[in-house]
Amino acid sequence: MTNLYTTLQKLCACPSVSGREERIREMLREMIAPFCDEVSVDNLGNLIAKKKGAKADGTKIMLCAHMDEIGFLVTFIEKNGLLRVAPIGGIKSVSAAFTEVISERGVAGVLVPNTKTKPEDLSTDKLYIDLGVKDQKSAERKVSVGDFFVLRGGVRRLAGRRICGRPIDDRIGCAVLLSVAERLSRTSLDGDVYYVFSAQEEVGGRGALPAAFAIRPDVSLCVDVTGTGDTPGADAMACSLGEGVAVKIKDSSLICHEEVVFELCRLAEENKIPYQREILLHGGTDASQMQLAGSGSRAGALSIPCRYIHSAVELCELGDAEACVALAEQFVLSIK
Amino acid sequence: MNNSYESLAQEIVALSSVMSVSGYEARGMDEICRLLGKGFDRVETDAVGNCFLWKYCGRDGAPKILVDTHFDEIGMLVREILTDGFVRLVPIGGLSPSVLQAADVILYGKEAIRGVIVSTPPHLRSADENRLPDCEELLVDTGYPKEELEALLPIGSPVGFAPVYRELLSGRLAGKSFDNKACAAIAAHAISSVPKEKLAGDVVLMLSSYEETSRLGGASAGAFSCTPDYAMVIDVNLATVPDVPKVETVPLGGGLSISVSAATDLNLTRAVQALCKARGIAHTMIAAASSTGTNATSIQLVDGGIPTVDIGLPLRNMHTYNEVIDLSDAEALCSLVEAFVCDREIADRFCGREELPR
Repeated sequence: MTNLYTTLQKLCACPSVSGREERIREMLREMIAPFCDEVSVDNLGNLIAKKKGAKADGTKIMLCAHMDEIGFLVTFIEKNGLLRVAPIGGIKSVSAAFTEVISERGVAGVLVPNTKTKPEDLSTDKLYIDLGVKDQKSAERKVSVGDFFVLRGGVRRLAGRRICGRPIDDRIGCAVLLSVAERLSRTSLDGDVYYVFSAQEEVGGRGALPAAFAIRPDVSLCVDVTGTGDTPGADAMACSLGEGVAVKIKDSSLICHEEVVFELCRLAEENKIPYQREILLHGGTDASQMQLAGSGSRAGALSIPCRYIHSAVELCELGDAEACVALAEQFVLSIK
Repeated sequence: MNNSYESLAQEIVALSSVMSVSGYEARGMDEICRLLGKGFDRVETDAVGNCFLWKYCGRDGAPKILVDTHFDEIGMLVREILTDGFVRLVPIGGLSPSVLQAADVILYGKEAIRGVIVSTPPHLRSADENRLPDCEELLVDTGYPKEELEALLPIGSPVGFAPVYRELLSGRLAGKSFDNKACAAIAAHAISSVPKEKLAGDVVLMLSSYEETSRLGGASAGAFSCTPDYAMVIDVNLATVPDVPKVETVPLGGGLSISVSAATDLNLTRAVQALCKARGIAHTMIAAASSTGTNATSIQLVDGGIPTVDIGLPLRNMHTYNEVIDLSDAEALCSLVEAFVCDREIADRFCGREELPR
């Protein structure tokens, strides 16, 4: 079995902002192919891997993790060579300021706020990228308006089984899907199983919608990160790092199907998989798109608790991701 | 109360009492079948929690008419269990904290638990502390010890207002969740009472899910799967009270409302308006610009597009436990639904559209 952390390291080293997912998609395509029967890419750029079921009328299940990440788009190059940017996805300027960034062409820079900007006044229009160049001309040799930048990726280990870096949101979900696919690759199942690595989640779940519309799953399960209530100043939330996989009940984009929630909790208890029940006050997932695409599906979601989401230091615990793999596997096996 | 109102009023109250907080609509399904099932040929549910009540006209190739009334209601979910039997909540749908304080609620865990939402007395508030707490800060007082409550009440259990209903003067009713189960009950009453030979087509009454919480609502998926030729969306509408802008409201007791909106089909809207006029059904026209704020906005855009008309039942105190409706409006709505599902002229005009290029 492939090690989850090794997979995650590989995935996090590959920059892939929403709408520019080619590189991560090619990497994932190679990794998922051995465990599936068919792999395809749709017009929006979703990677769809299918494991055929034994029965034509078996229950169809779609597992989905998004492969894109938040980033910045270059909008203007100043005379002095500094780059002005617009956000791609839910950037928190305070979390992103003073971070190393890298462009899709591999150009390195740092993202910094205008001098003397107070933290409460910080917004994307007060941020710029410094490439270390002297002037506009040298900047234009390296980047063009319309180029994408991301916060520099990479993960490392902290104490115990905790890790930190980016974009753990949601490469860890991709790693979970790969792991589930590997574990189920030799098992014959009644229904088709689809592993979807979705594009453009960070800009409004745009990839999962057409993917779910094309697949028409009966049951759908999203795997993504979720916030926690275990840091100073966090909203009260009964979800902590290291307490297991989070079974989503609600976030701001959907309320999960009650039977799916019930079934996930039952399976976790039966198989002694550590889990917690998650209500996320702010933030949505691809699950909402899968729930309502076409005639709709019974939608649920598993989350990996993660601190400091959308920063360069996203922090989570490997044990929670392993619990997520175990529970997702049991869930797929339980579908009749 | 006027006798002619009585059975309709009872049906409205019975259906509105069923707990159906968004996402938990399925829990009420047995009760719905018991209350409404008899008047229909087939009842089915889907993956999103929509419930479809079919009544067939008995002719092959007949038009398919969708009547949509969302069935979910605003409410809360249990977010955290604290010591001394206090429970922290998360709101579901558009709830105002000013309404929640001191409200009677029921927590639907492994058993139904009564609770009261906590309100800080004015004695304990300084003058500058008149700020309303956010819904997320409010607590329910249940009186249970923490351990017992944890066993009875899993995180995520739905919480709803206690169903208490009262008659007011002039044939008005006050209580919870008339939004939108009053409309569901009225539509069911109307469709059930029509003999099948009179129907202009096969009629499906969709009790749709997630209207209060999702931009599209469960109705979009539901309309996609039942592929109607045309649709009527019925939802409650804001009724006039002193001191609120008149331009966005409709008079209580003035009959049903018909929206004119970019989000609905103008021809179908005019046809329904003409139907009201011809039958002497009291109605108000209301402008709803680019969105009706109801399922009409999403149903209109399903698949290749569905001609949709948006109808409202005037209601005061929306999203509280004392919503007020007028039974004369309910009767008007009932008459319109009956006339609408029987209207062959509308059926001829809005079904059998040309095949769209694929």
